[in-house]
Amino acid sequence: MSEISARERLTSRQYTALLAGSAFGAGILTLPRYLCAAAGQDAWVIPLLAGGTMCLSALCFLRLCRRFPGMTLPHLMQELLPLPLANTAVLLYLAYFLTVAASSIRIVAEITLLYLLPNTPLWAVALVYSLFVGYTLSGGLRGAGRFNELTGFVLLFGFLLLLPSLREGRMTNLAPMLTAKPTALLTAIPMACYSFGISLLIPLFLPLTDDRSRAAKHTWPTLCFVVTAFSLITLTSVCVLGADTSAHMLFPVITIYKSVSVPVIERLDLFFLTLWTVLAVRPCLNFALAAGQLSDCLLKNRLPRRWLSAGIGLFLFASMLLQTDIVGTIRILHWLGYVFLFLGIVFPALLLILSRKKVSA
Amino acid sequence: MADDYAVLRRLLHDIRARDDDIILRSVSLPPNSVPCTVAFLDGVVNKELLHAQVLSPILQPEPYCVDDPLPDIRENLLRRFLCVSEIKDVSDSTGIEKELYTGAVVVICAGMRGAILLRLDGFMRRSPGAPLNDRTVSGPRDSFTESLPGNIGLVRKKLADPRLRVKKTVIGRRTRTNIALLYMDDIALPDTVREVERRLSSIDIDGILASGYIAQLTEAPGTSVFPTYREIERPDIAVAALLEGRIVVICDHSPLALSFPTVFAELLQAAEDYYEKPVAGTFARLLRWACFFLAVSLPALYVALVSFRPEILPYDLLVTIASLRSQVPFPVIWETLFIEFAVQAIIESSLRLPEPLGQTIGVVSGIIVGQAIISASLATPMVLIVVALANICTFCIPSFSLSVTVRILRLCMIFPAATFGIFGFSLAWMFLLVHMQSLDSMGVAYLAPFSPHIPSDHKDAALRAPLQSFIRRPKSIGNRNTRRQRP
Repeated sequence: MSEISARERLTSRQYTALLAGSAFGAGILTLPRYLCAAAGQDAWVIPLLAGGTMCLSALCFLRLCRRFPGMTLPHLMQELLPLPLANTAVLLYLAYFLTVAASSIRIVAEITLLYLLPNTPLWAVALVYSLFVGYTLSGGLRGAGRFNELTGFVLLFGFLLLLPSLREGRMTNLAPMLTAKPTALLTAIPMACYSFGISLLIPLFLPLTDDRSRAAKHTWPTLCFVVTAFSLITLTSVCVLGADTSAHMLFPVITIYKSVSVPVIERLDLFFLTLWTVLAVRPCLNFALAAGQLSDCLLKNRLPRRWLSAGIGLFLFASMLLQTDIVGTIRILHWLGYVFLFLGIVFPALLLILSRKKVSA
Repeated sequence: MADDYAVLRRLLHDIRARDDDIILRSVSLPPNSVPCTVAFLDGVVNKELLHAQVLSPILQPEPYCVDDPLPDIRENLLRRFLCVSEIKDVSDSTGIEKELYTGAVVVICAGMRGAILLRLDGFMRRSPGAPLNDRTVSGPRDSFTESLPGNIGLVRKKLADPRLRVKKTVIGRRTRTNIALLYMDDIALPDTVREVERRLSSIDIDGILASGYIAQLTEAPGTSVFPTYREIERPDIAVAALLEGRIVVICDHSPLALSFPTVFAELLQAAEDYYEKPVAGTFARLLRWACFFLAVSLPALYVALVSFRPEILPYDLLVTIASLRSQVPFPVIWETLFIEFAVQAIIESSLRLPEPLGQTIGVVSGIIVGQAIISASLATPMVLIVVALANICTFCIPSFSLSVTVRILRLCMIFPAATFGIFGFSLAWMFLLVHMQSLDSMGVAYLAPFSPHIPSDHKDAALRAPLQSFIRRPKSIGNRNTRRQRP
């Protein structure tokens, strides 16, 4: 795919949409439950703190991108590290992206089964999603960029639909404020980190934008938007359902939609679910695209794009079916939060130090 | 010199022996009675013009032609006898044969090298009438015909700018069809012009019978049901396309021109949008967008809701549908497919039959057969309403090619909706969107200005802003001269 990327560029708008779109998938539907379980009514603080780690990671990657303009992450690693080590690191990132993609699509498939198609076998829904991801990937970077750009507005619309639910909310649910133990907050941060893994996409897609400096400038508002949205949605969940109820629901956000009554649209939750089942594929798609970039680098562009897309689609389908149940999948995602701390902060910081030495040498 | 005449005369006689519609006329050129032969294709050449402008001056020469002949035979022929504006010299026998079959009048003369070709086209042409598809109430009512020069003339008449370039080429090894490429020299992007020229020159086919051939053969490889070109029936739309920096391709013997590059939003625009107030134009466009969505979705949505999520429907409607459905022995999908198939068959037969008969068939099948289907409990009235409404919406789409696409898509959408309900329906739409955004028309994104998002072009996409706001030409197409009017 990197061969295609060389001639296909993302616009800064597409890059922004791709970055923001990668955050809002299965995570936003499941996260409030775990955050509420960890920090009670102060759950909304955790996304702000986890967002801080994401910003730190983004800072490292942006500096790396500035130091090596036009170089994507795998090329950058090959430049700074010995080849076997660089390839191992690429494999690590590849495994991370594929696991995030497979796990998040599994959650979306489970939600689809639970709320929309209770009598359909999982493999059928999984197959449809994998086909969709494979097909979109075959359009390359440009196709994925355009898809994110086009559906970005729908995503915003989905959030706006949440606003009427605040009428049902009680501000007293937030009290007493900021009483959670710091240890509880710190333990919950890695849990939230997998949803903020989007900073890992920066070194893969920023160098492929047509206006890098503009895209880099857009990165910060995008990350701020993501953090704010996560925090606000958790806050809404606590306000409307209460911390205890949220902690006992698998998908509290979907329940919030059920509480909203909008004239004309009688079943807003179904309307939202219909939108979401498709929109939530975006993170999976974007992480799969990142995986495609890395595999392409490892395979030295020898595999045609169609075959690579089909391979990724097939891999996602198989790994989705391999996961035992949704709770297990969510647990995998939480572990990925810890992996993010290494791949998103520690490793790029090391690369930054190495690059500094290389530049000064 | 005399040998050239003999050879060519023998060639023309051989052709005459082969084809009975070749006419040879031998005359003597005054004053020295030089032998001369005129050859032409019967039915293609205007005989009246041939008599008046070629044969008559030779057979009944003016006195000054006889008294003061020019020494060179060719010059004498051209300056004294032939009163034709379009003249061409050809020396090789293959070229002469080819031109003869394209409708040229061949004149050979003893003592002259090669042949003189005259254009005296007399093929039956219709005059520009009202367009069949894209009709307007307040706009001009002329449309392209099957004549290439006539069509170029219609454009030239509306666009009296010396920077309008017309490049002609011949495509089709056997049909030798004339194709004209029109673009504004100072507006169209040279890269786009070159790309269109490249794609036209890469066509190697025996015959081009209509512009549809050109449209398909210039499309990028790969399969897509969506047209990435715009078929233009009206010269005013062709001029508007040229002024936006597009390239118009006109094919001889075809009343439809093509414009490149084309974006999807264009296919839902009509000429009338620009001749009415912005509010009316915007309303019509939004209506067409809604119709496009409904035309593709309505039957699929009906199947998805009734089969999987009936609780979304209002209770009273649900009860009505349930009571009607109880009398029909088929599942919703078969019922919908059956009615859809019947309606498609009626449309297809109405298009092929003579006009009065087509209308009768439409009425008979619409009312009588429809009523009979309901009475026989083969389908519910609800399905009939849904399918009929979807088909009415299809006819709101100005582009015929797109309306055919919509008819196909509508059928395709029913299957995922019947398998996965609303989920399948929405995913099918997403597949459609991903496919559409992967398309390009001569390097321009098909879904522009929505994806990639170009804010300045939104004033003439789904909306129609006031003409005063069209300060710059569309950015999505790309053009050299961006300014359209003074702010």
